[in-house]
Amino acid sequence: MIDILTLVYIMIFIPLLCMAGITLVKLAKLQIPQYGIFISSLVSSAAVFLISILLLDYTITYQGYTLENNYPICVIQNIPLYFGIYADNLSAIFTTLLCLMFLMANIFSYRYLIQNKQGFERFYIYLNILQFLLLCFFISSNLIQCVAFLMVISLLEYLFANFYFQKPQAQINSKKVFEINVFADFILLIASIAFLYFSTLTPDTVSIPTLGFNNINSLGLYSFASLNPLIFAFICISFIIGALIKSAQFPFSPKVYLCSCAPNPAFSLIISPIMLALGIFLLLRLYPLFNLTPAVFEILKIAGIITALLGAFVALKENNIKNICSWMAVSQTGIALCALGFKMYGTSIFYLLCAGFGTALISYTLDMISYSTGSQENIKFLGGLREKLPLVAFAFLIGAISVSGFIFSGFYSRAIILSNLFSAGNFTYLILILLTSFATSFYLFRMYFRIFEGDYRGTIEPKRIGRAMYFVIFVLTALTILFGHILIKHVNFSFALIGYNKTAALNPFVNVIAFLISAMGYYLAYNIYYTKRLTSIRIRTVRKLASQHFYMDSFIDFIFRDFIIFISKIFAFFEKYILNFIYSLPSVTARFVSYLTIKFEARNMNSQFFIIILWITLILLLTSVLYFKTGIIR
Amino acid sequence: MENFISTIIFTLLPLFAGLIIFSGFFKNNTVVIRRFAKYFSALYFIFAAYEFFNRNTNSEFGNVFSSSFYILSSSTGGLSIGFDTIGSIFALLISFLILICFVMAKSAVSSKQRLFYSFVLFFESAILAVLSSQDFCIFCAAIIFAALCAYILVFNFSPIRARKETKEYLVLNSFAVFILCGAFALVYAILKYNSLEANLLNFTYSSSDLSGTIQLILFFAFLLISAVKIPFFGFHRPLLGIITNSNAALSCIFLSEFILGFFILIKFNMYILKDIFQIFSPSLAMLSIFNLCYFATLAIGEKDLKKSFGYFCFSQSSIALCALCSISIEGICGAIFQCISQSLILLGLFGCYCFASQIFKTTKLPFMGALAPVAPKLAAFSFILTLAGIGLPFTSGFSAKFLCILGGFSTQVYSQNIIWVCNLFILLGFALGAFYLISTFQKIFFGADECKDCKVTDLLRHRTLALAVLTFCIITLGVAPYILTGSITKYADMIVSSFLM
Repeated sequence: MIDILTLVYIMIFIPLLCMAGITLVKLAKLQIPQYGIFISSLVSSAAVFLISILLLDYTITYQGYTLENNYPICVIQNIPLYFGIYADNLSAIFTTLLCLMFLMANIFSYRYLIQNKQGFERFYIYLNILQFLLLCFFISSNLIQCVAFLMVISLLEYLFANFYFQKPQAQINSKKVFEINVFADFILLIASIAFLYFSTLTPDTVSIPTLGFNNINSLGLYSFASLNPLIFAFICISFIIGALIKSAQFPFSPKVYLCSCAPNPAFSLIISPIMLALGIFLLLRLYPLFNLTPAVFEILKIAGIITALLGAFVALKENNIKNICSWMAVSQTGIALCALGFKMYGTSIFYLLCAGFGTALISYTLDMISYSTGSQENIKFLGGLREKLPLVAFAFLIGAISVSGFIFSGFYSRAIILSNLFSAGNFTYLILILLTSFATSFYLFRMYFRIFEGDYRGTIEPKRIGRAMYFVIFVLTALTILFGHILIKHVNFSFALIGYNKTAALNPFVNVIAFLISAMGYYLAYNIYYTKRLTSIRIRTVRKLASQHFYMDSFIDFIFRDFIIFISKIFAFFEKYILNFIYSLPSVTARFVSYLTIKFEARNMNSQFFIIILWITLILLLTSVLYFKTGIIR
Repeated sequence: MENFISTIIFTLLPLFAGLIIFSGFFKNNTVVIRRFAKYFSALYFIFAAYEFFNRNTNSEFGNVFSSSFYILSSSTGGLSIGFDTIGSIFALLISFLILICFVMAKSAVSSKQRLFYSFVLFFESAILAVLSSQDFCIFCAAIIFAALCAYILVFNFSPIRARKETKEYLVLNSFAVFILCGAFALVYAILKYNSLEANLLNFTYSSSDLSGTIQLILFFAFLLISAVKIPFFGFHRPLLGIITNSNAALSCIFLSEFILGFFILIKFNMYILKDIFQIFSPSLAMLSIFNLCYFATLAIGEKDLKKSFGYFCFSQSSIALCALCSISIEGICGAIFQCISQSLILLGLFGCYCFASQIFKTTKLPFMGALAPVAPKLAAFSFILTLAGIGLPFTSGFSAKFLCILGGFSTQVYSQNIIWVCNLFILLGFALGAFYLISTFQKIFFGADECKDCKVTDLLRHRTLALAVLTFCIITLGVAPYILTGSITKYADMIVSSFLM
């Protein structure tokens, strides 16, 4: 009988084996049909998904017991670095979600890749290695492992963003994505090493433990007690900034839409709550640390709410379905982060999962539309697809209703956050979240009416969609409808699953208001884009700002390109002229002196000018010698 | 005595091999010369590895280089010679770099092979003599000889337009070397005055008895030669010119120069003149951060591939310098590890960039692009090396950067706040380096197709072999850094304990 620990190790290494197999097939140029590669990847992801469910079941059954195992892989100097497993509820739920998303991506990808006829094996290699890395990240037992795998995940994100490297846009965008990610990674690395040193490396420490999550609480307490508060706050803020960048929060939100050149199934993964929650997961793991410096939660609140609001406003102006999806995902992550800022630990995870299912459903339906209409991604050139793709329209509608917070999972998660904010008297944040809900509802239904209602404006006839793709949206629809309901009705289960504790009852007044505000968004979209009784609202400043992505792109371009190039030009000027002059000075002086000497030797020194210079030099020398000799300056 | 003879043989073998080639024994038969040099270097490297492993008293793999291989034979008077830990590691590294350069030289050096191979071997011998020397005369003679060999090589095997920079480098190098000789003369006089035998060991023991002014003079004399070889800001122009005009085969020259500069900095400035180093460590740390950011920024804006690579090399050197200034075990360990890792990565990257510029027949980045589909092997190796340069986990770059940052935090110097702040600014340097590497990779291998009229060939067998070996070493050091850190730690511990005394 294989124990659960062995199963978890098997779960981690199955994608790696699959990746190795596909790589070997590609390198050896074996004639294996593409279907075989797809099946092997699918079987691998299905097996991993099954094991992840077993793990989830295990963590729920043995509540409070954490599966833990550490294996030392290397010692850098005298610091042992471990590859380990730390499977508690949090990692189990994220692992299961991850495996589900990868299974869906695998099922969805085959037809898409066959249609695109490019990089079939490469896609599955990347996909499996990404799954392996994400599993290692979510189950990691220590902070260093977490950060190390986060750095490699950044690489995979770059590779996916640059998958179609023949496209110039893909090259430019992927480079930006990589730069943003690397910047965040180095911040996290420095913060981790600082924490490692300041929390463990003391003169009286005999053996140095690595930053295991099992004792992060005690390490935090120890460093909080022994460290200068400034240093401790610096470490916490660095972790938060790194995590915020990884989760594409303001002002680094464009990171997500820059990945839109990735293949559609991979893009759906990138905007799923898996990739976007990397930073949030790290914050959840380090939660005991932040609890010691409550001021840092303010950063989370502010960054989260700004991202949520701006993301929603940008999505209002976008016409590209991938861009809308990415801004929607960013906006939803912002709300989850804001909830975490209010120390709603369980609620934040609950919101992330509920919104995540809705977002994934919407993104997959849009991928199906893109597939069906021959990569048409502009909503202005779509329309009337409800009659041609009724199931897709239905699934999209379910997703839109949930994410807007009308009913289903999205309603419950949003209701809890709003009720908590109302009972705590945080009306500013409450109003801002309601505003976000309004905008979300508006752009989602705008998209619905533009894509599915009216007349079809595309150039090619939409083609038939495979059953495998329908299966994906069926699963996600069921989860979007039921997940929130199950969790809210079975309190014990939800507590066991995500640590959610029902602290405030759902406030009917706030929820009715929230419903009405979302309904307003729907009504407005209905009247503008369906009945066309109203014309589009044009608030010029907001439109301009939204179309410029609130200058977030410009900010990123400025700090990662323009500013560096500007400084580089200044340095180049210095190199070319000033340093060159300094270098040529000795040789010029030597030549000049040599010229003078020759002239002097030849007794051709007729010029009064040279004689004057010589006299002045001589006088200066004598004066300085006398000056030092008299002892005024010693 | 046995150790002494081994060291003499080890140091002088390349010189003899070089003399055989130079004397015309092979009658200008280029194939034979090339093969002789290549196989000699390979055997020599194996011999060196075996010797260092064999000399080790501790048979653990983590302690391959122990300080037991430290000789000072009194029977030979002043002419003492022997490797210590860092010397032996650097000697092995240099013999490896030269072996890889010989492998790459097959298509990079098309004429004057006899001169090239013999002088590279002379250069190797001179560098090894510097690393092993425990005597002032040998040290000065070897360092002058190394500078001359480097000058002759670069002068003969780089374009005519590079001769100005070559001369500048020789002048600057000679200036620094003569000041070093002067410093040694001063030490010699002082030791003789105190009735001590004039060698490095006595200098080490009695350095703290010297007056502050003399220590300061010596410190700046040693720092000057390190500043020329590593190089520091302001002293970098001639070396940059050499890198810009070098080919893959000559990369061993500037990498060896960097290693030599670093060796002098650790051994003389840090270990022997520890009191002064402690005072200047915050200033040096700030200088290194400035170097790091300055050169990395310049590298990003530069349009010439080799020139930008030169700037990048200098910025990477500064990471090691910054870690060294922390004067902690982790920092010194990280600095030495960074030095080794960087040499391997830069050698590989320079090789890749040289091959790419050979294909495009230009070194201008705007005229390069879309090489990945036509040269996939070159693209794959470049990508791995780029990632190692960035510091991705499981490569030697990550371990080195990890140790450097950790060392920066664990500093115990009196002004540790400055070192901590510098350590935070290292982040900026890392990020800038990463931006440079990824943008260069993209420009060469993706980008617009500039490859229409050029003769495209992927990596030939010998180049593939060289890059594969380098990649293997980089990944091995990334996965199992304890191969080196075990022994380096002992050396670092020795240095740090001397500071605590």
